[in-house]
Amino acid sequence: MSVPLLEINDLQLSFATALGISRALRGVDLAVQRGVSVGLVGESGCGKTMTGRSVLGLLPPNARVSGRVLLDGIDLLALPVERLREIRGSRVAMIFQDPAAALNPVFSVGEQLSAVIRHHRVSLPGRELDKAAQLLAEVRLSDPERLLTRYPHQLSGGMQQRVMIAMALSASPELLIADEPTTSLDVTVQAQILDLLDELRRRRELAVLLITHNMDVVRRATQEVAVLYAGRVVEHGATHEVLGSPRHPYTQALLAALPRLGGRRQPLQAIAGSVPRGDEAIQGCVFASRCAYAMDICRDNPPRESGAEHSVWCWLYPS
Amino acid sequence: MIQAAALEIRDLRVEYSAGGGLLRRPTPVRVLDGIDLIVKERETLGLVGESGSGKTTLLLSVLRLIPAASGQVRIAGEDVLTAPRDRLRWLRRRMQVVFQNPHSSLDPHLPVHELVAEPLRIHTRMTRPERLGRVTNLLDDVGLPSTFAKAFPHELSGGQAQRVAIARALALSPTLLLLDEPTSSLDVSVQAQVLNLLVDLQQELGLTYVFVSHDLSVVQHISDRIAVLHLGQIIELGPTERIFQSPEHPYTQALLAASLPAETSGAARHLRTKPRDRKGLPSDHARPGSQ
Repeated sequence: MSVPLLEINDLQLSFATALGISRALRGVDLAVQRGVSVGLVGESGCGKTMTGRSVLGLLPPNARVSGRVLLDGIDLLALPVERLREIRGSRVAMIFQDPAAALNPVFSVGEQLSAVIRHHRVSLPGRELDKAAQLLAEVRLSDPERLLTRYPHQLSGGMQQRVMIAMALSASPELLIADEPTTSLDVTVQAQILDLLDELRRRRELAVLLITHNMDVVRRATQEVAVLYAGRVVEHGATHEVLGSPRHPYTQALLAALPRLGGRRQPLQAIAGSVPRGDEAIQGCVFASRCAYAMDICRDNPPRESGAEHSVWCWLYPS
Repeated sequence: MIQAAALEIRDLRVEYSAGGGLLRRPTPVRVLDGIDLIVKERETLGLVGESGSGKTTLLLSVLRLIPAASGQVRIAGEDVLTAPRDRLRWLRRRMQVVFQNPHSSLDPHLPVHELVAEPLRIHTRMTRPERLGRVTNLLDDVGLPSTFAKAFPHELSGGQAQRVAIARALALSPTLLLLDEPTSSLDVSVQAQVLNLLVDLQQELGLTYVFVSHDLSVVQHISDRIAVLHLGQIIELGPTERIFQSPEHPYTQALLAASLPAETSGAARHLRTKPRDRKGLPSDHARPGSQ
């Protein structure tokens, strides 16, 4: 395998709060190759969004972060903020769940896109609107010139998200972090946006980190998937491998809890117990307290990675 | 024997007025356009459709929380839409609703035991000790230990709060439960718990469900029949298996195509669907959205 575009090693993130330290990430390991879409899945509070935000340094002031986030060999966590600012948008871009909240309601689409284009100096001065129209066409919006004069509230949710994608692509980033990009959209629109992201990935050789809680989205739009639980990646591999033959007990339980086509009226398998709280220190495996297969070693020692192509962090699979 | 109807909707029309100004007359926008629907006793009817299709409007107009332009909504033979006040009060005891987000539908100032007892206080003449006894039973029914009785909504997880909302809805022993995306705000492992609970309660209490959701796998899991709503009209209605195996309306086909993964590897497909169901999936030519 070639050197990954993005490599995250032992990423730890905690917040100093009035009640003590709250841990959001407990050592995330993750790699994203160029031209590959990697899904980052997990339930609420497991650290999906914080992993994505850590890459861009978009964290609250009380965050304490350690580990390494390498973009093409450069450690983003060690960069001074001015250098990081040069990377934001130009090499790594991000889109969010709610495009209506991410767009500014008082500026037209053309004004907002031009501002980004001007900031990154990716067109000749005075030609920003031409570049903006070109980007809107690339995200398959019809009649781009007319659209430039429109305001966000005049667009549907799907169109707004396409505008966000156009904005994210304006400086030709190498990595796109998409945080639940289709969660607020209807399924038919969701499918169109996912297909668009896939097309852009192929054409631009874009690396995509797709953050989602939805297994159908992962199945449809990613080549690889990393499963996150309580701030740690517990399994990572080709999407069809992980979803088809999950190895980690958490992944297995998560998939078993999904209602499946054809499995009607059979009771679903809920996962007993609850996710560890942020203030709990965990010695061993993060899933041990809810795991049906937990052994003594699981509670005392963090599991090591095993398996080369389809990795799993679990003592059931000794390396 | 003909199965009795728990809910009978005839030619229901709902309009909102929009675009009115100082001198301009508002133009009515038809949100529900001639809905005919019979929900049988003890069945679960899944109601699917995209945002703006009228799913929530349909539930709210059945409850008469918004006025209908015309039509009938019959429960136990009585029309909800024209019922006088005292009869409406009686009818509302028979139908209850559970909303999507329990943290916004439950009053944050009331502890759990008061939230669950409130319908009893308003609709019955139960004494306080009787109400408390009933609350304990209801919490037990939804799988919450009685220690939760004194908790406030913010102290509950999403799944626990939704159980409280269900207990409150069940307090008056309704026959019909309207469920508006009851698991959409929950994580899948918790969603599984709540769906299992709903199935158990239906069997124990003989409830009838109208289950609104945009998640087709959830609807397919829980429903006996499915109604597909599009632009205010029911465009397809049938048994769950039939809708999923051979959707007739092009819109239903597009909806299914968009929800089912575009490419499903053999291994992944094996996990999600048992082999005998595989041919039951719509074939590719029946899915206009997929290539």
